[in-house]
Amino acid sequence: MWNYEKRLEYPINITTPNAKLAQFIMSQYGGPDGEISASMRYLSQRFSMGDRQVMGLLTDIGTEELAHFEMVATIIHQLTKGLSMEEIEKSGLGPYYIDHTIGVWPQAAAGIPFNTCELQVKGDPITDLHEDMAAEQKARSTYDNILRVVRNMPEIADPIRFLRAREVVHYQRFGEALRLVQDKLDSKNFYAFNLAFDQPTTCPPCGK
Amino acid sequence: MNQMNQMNQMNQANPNNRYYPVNRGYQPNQAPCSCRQNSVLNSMSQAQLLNYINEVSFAVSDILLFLDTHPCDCEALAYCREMVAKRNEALKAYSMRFGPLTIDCTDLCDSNRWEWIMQPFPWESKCKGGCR
Repeated sequence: MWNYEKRLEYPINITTPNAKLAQFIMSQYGGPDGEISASMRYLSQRFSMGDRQVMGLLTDIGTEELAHFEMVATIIHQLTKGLSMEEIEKSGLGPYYIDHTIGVWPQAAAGIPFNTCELQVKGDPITDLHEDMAAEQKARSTYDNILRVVRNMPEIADPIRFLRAREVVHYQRFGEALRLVQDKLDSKNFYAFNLAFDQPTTCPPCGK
Repeated sequence: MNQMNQMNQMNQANPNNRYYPVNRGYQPNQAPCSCRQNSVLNSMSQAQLLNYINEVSFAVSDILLFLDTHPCDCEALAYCREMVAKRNEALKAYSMRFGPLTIDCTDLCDSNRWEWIMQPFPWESKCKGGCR
């Protein structure tokens, strides 16, 4: 069960609209390595983790990703609010405008709609945690690519830097989760059994 | 589900066109005494208390939607405040006895470890596989 908090995880106050940047940053809303992908991936994978500590981590990171989803949406909204028709047409945002006006719709920078084929739930904790670590690095690279474009615009760069830093923290925590899972497996053969399929759910510190 | 019945009755008494532009009559100092309520909560089993939390939380979730479209309905507002107070008290009581259900309750647990991940997740099977 979830509850909403009426605040952003990190404040955003963009005063100058910019259609081109909105189109770029939109990729972190509905693109292949975007925030909704991340949230759906973690919140779906947690059912087949076989370890309560890792389920907890996926729940909490998946929840934080929803807050990042809201932050990216806020950036897009503030970057597109008050644009003139001329700016929209010149910037290349025209096709998006025709379908969505300046509503916020999950798509990649090149216009590909959000697609769950961009994420995987394998039902194997080792496989899924490797995907999660890769996902955080892919999102970090995307934020690095965005930062090269907006580095001289602090009102955009600041929240993007915050989001980038969170990717690094999540990557670290997923690495620790992978270690927790591996500690419960056969150290001579990590692939001898699937913790989520062949074993009952365990919880620390009782180990049951 | 007592709360649901109460709410259905109330929704029937509040047709859609009832909309008060001014707040009339709500008095914040009339909240019921919590001492008695606490002893009732503390006498409940874990399953009973969780069921009670589900009931009052559903009452909040539902009246919240009603208030979104009827923000000045005093009767609904009073009902919402009452249910939110009951929910907060129950969450607190549950947290102190069985572990936290929300992150804002984690400070109430009398434990020197991170109880947040120790409790079973709601999807864990009780008959096979789960930790209990």
